[in-house]
Amino acid sequence: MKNDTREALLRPLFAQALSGDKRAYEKLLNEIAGFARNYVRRRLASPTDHDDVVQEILLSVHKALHTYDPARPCLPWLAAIMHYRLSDWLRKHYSIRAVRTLSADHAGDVFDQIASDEVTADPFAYESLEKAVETLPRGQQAVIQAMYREELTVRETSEKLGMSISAVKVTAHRAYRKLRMRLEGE
Amino acid sequence: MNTQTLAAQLASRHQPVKPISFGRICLEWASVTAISFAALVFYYGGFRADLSARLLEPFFTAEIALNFLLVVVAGLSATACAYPDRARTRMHQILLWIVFTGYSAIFLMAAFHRPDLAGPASGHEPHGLECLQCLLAFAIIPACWMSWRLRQLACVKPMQMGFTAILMAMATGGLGVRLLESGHLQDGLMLTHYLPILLLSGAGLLLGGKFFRW
Repeated sequence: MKNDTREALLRPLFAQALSGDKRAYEKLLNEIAGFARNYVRRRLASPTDHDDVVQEILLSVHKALHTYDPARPCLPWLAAIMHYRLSDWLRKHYSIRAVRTLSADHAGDVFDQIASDEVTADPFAYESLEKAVETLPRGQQAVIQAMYREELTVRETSEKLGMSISAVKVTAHRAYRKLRMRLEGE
Repeated sequence: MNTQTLAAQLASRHQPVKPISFGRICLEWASVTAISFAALVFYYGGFRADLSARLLEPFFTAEIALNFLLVVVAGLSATACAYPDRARTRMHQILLWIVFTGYSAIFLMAAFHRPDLAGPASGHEPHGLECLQCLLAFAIIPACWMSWRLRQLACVKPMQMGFTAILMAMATGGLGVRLLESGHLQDGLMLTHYLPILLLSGAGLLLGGKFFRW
């Protein structure tokens, strides 16, 4: 879809959404989600993270709607939010790696392996990891359980456990660090 | 949760939204800055006694005018950073650097080539920590207001916003000090007026990256 067409489609929806029309707002968010998905797909290699970033973008649009001026084009406003949210996501992603802790991707791979049928191929690693997980505080165990056994996204985990998204990320990050220290110590 | 469910949930909670205009925010910080400035001028006992005579000197007038412009342009730039579509325009950034460069150039010219234009060297108190306190007193209310108000918007350039918001507040402080204190240009002025403006604006750049993220 060309930008002019997209602008013509989204701008009336923005105006209706500002006036409180819930149906128009839902339609607007779904249109933005499609647009954002294409944007993220072109810039982010890992497909498993696409939905998280798109949902972050939708939440940001929801929070920032009062800064949109209906007299101005909506696409520059939307593009700036998408760019900011993606950059923010990448910054967090790489800052976690930069402190040389076990990255979410790495931990995800380890836990994905556990969740798959291949765990029997390396029973020692499985048992070690199981034991290490059992030594974690209950909150951290619950997050690990939800994210890597039940394969829930960060957002779903936050809803299931009644925690904020950032609290889930922090808890998971601390759990990875502890697991790494314990497994390296063995 | 999938994205469609999230959209439906957000829409179900949706209420009419009244946009906060760019002009309104600018008017707010301009009013707060002007009121706090006037109150502090009154508190410190009015403008410097030789102000009318000094305003006849081109370098001094140019310095004050550019200082005032720096307040306005830095404030506009900080506010623009809080509006996603306006943050991407380069005009306010270019304008800010033109004014900042002009202000620095005028100050340096007055300091090094025509120090007499910046005031007689005798009969005035030297600049010291009192100037710094005065500068911070003028800057604190605009800085707090900008930080509080702009955080409620949607900053997409947090570091730039931190820098420009603090620069605006510190430039207000600098303007206040220059209009109140009658000391001449010397090293003390550099140390107690302009160095803090630059250092604290630099700190704003670093802190803005943390404080204005959302």
